Amino acid sequence: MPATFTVGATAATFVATINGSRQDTQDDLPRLVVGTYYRTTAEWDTLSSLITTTYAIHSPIGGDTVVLDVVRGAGQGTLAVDNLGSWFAILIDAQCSTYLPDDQAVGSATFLLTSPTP
Amino acid sequence: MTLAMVRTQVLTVTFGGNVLTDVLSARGQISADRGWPICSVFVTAKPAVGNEEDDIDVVAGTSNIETRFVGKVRGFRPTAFPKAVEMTAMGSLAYAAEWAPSEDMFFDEVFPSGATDLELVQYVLDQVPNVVYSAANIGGMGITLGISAPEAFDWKAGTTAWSYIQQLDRATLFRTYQAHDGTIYRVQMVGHPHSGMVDFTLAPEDVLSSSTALRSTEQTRNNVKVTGYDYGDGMGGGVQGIATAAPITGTPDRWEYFSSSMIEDGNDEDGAPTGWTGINAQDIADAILNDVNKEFVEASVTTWRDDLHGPGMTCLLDTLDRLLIGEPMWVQDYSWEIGDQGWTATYGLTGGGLEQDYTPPPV
Repeated sequence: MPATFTVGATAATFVATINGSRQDTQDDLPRLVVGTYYRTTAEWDTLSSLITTTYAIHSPIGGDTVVLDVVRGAGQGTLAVDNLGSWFAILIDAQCSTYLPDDQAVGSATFLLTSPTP
Repeated sequence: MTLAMVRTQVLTVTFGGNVLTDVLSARGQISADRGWPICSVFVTAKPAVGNEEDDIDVVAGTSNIETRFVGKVRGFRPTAFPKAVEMTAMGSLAYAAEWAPSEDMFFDEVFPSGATDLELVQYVLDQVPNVVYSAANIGGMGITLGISAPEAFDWKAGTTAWSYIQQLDRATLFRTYQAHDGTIYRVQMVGHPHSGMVDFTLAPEDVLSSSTALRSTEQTRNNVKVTGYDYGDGMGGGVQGIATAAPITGTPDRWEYFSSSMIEDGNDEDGAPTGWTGINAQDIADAILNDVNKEFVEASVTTWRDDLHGPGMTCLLDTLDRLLIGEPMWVQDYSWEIGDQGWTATYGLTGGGLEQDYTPPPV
């Protein structure tokens, strides 16, 4: 399924695959790991440039909202996966694990979902 | 539904006129008791330009990007592994704790007609190199001191400027302090929340799990005896002021003692006014009683919030179910930290007793 992750003016496109995708939680937030298929090297390069490498999560003793401080990296963007949904999210990990002919590759991308998009 | 409030943190440190590019983290504190702000900045290596006593300022925050500290670098503390250098910094008022006159200052020679407490504090600050203040920010009781007992106000050689100011502050219940931006103030700062609107609220959604609190009557005192200058005329050790109240149910009858030779007026041992001039021991006793005749309520509250706050403000700590506190509290100290763990701030809060009427001081 076509997918995009956009932070500011930078939009990364890739294909989200069923294989390798899963959902769970991390640090009181939903975590979405999507299997990825990169059609070109540029798709990988762009997505990997949007990783938030260091962040901190504060969980107050009350309320439903946690506070996520972006220390280093691109920060929050919009993740949209066709037929699945869209969310505000930060990209905390991207892997390119298998290289295919013609500059294609497969891997995975891990997002922390910070809120649904309006 | 929002799951997370996402913030991007900013930390900009300028040292000796240069913006540092290798800052790892920073932390700072401002406390009503210390008098000047302190700050530590952690960098990967000692900056190539700049040395001790150079200016440093720190701008930091997440949703509130503010100047958090203005002062002087006082030292470099390297650590071997992982390699880092802690730059320790203080507000310039710290110089007052390092400077003392080499000869006695005789009060009646400098102020033959006496002086108010704010004039005295300004005189002392004027003697300290590199301490800059605005006279408009130095407040005081305004009572002329040193008429009845000028020798009580002599500034002895070797006594630091800060020590002299603190003696005066204790006797007048004022506090001299330096705010985060380097401005020096002297204000009446009683350790009580003020009446009226609170300055801000900390609720469970603001408070992080490392917060703690204490309610106790161990320090409760329902009687106060203040002793002032001893004129040597058999008044039981000096002019006096006594304030008493019935003990809080369950607590024993206990006394708080306070003494300052800068208190020139008061009562004799039989409770009759002595008729001297200057600060009155009875007024001080009445004021201190409010401070000690109460259940002591204290809290150390850590929060993710990055407001620009400081000592002397009044906070409604609305955490009755977790910290057993749901009442206005007085901010005694405020510290902050920014780095790989994000932004956190910690408030040292005290409360209990009756709220007082006063204007919160600048932060």
